[in-house]
Amino acid sequence: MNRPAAEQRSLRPARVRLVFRRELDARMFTKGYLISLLALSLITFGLVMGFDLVGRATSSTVAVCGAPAASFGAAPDKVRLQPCADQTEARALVQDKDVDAAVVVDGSHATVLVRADTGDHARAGVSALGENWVTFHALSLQKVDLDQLARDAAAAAPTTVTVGDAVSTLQLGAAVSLIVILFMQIIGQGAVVAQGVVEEKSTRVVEVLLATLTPLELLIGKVSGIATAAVVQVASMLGAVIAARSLMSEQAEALPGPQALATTVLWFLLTFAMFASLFAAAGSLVSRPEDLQGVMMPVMLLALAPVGVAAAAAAQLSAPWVTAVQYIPPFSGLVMPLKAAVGAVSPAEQVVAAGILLLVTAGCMALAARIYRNSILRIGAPVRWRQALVS
Amino acid sequence: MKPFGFERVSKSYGSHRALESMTFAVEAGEIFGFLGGNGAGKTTALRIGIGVLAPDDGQVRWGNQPVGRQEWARFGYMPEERGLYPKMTVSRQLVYLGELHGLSRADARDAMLRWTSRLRIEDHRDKPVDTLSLGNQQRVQLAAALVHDPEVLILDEPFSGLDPLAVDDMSVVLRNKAEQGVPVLFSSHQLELVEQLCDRVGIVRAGHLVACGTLDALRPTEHTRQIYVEVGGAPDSWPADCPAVAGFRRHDQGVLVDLMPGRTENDLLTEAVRHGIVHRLQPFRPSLAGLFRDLVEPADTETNEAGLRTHAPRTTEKDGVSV
Repeated sequence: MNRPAAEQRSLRPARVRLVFRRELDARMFTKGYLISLLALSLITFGLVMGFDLVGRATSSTVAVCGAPAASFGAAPDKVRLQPCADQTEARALVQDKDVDAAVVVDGSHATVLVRADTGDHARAGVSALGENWVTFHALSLQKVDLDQLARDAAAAAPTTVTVGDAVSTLQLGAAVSLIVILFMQIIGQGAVVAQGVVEEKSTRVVEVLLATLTPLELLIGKVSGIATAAVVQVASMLGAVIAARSLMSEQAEALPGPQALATTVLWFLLTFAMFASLFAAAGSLVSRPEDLQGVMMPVMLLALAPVGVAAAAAAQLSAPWVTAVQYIPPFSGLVMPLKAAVGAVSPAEQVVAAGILLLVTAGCMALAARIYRNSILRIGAPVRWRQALVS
Repeated sequence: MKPFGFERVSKSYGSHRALESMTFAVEAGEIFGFLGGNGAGKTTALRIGIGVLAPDDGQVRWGNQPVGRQEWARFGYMPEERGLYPKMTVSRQLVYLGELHGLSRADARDAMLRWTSRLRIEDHRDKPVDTLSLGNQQRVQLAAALVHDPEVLILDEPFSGLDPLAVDDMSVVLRNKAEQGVPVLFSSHQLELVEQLCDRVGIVRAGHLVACGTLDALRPTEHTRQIYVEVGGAPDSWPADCPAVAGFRRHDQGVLVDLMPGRTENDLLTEAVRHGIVHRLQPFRPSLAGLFRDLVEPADTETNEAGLRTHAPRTTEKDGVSV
């Protein structure tokens, strides 16, 4: 007579908690974990700050002299004005690359100074500034009331309206890098799950454990323990992102806000639960750590697929195929937070996709528990996926 | 304490029948030894006994009940392949396992302290298991099986890899447990130990329990008994022309003799003295090793045995065959 099925499946929370606690002890309170936690946070911080610097490089500095600053009108976007004394100084500044370009007014004539390698942005900026002064100068000659002109112009100023749902590349770039980091966590911590399972199998301790635990209790305790370690790591990285963000100037808006970050963490957890169970199943198939690479391959590929899809989707977030794929696990786990980070998806859509992912995750866990149960005590040659499923 | 046993337990791995309708019982306070060659099915049987594997058919019983998860937590188990977390300290490991078996943290700690002292590993409590000598790791493993004061003990090859001192400690612990009424089931290759410790043995071959009983019951019975004779200076074939001898074969330094019906040791002795100096003449009690060999090594005639006790007499017949 087999053991009653209900008994095999029943979970005793106290036992699961014991496994969970041991897993935390073994993973989180180790020197290696704390060091990697620190290193990852620092790297993330550095990356975000570097990202900010790259963003800043698109701004230009233009030296102006020979006329009051007001006569150059409002500086174009991302062009900083720097006063200078005369044409000689302006020439030196441009040559020494202290500024990108310069406008020098000499009585009734303006000269624009550029280098051959002055960027398009600076060129456009400096010529706009030159035009501004020329207009200002010509209008002054016509005895136009410039203050009145400015007021009238301000009153009739156009307002900018963003149409369509295209997002700025900067914003998208930030979201993609965040999600790639999370995905690396899924692969990395997933491998830890698989290694943990093999460790128990190769040291045979699993036999002692299974004398008191059901395979499912062991599996759930283990995966949740490692997931906690992973979430702490992710949280510290996100902390680094937020810290870097608070130190940053104008590019800060490009990074996802706290709400988007929280959503991302939820998506991460769900996706992680799904992959972790598959990694655990892969780990249970082999008896020695050396054999692990081979059986992890299919899971790795499955985990890599969403990244490719997310990368392709990033270019055209509102394309019909993306709208379809955003509901299909495991792609939804990456595409959804990506869209959420740039505000291109509604909460209702997210809830639906999360529901589907949750169902699939539950299915994966049941499948993994079955594979785990069937192969965890088979010591020797790696068990084939199919064998583990059937028997 | 309650007896523990198997009732027609079968298990297959694919097409391979690992256990075939195995039935036996270990009484409360009894030490039961499991003997068998490699791959005979001992480990599978013990794993089913502890609930790590589910049988395809049959029941594991404790008292009058089939065993379930709750009850299995009251069993103690030592697997053949020793298994502990290598990087975890002895004390943490034992406390963890105690808690898994349902002890409170404080009780598990007490039990850990008690058993590490008892098994003389108290100096190693705070060391990771993989820094201990193999012998001490074995002691930790035994402590892991005992930490929750189990009511049934199942040990797979508990003596393998132990130094003589540890063998003595282990034997004492098993005896004490049995004295407290715990049914103790263990498998071993060390036959002398089984002979010393076990009240009864079961011999497993190809998934069948081919013999089960006390050692005396498994030994040849009176009417087929043999006599071992050592005669100095006699040719090997000296019993050939003795009227008291029905058959004989070489054994050790002398010969094993089957007496003709109606003849006694005295008849044999008077004939033996004529061939040389009689060093020894004693009833032959085959060692467990001999029994084991006979029962475990596949004989040519058998193809389909039902795993019954009736195999023991058959074996003695084979012993009695004269050359």
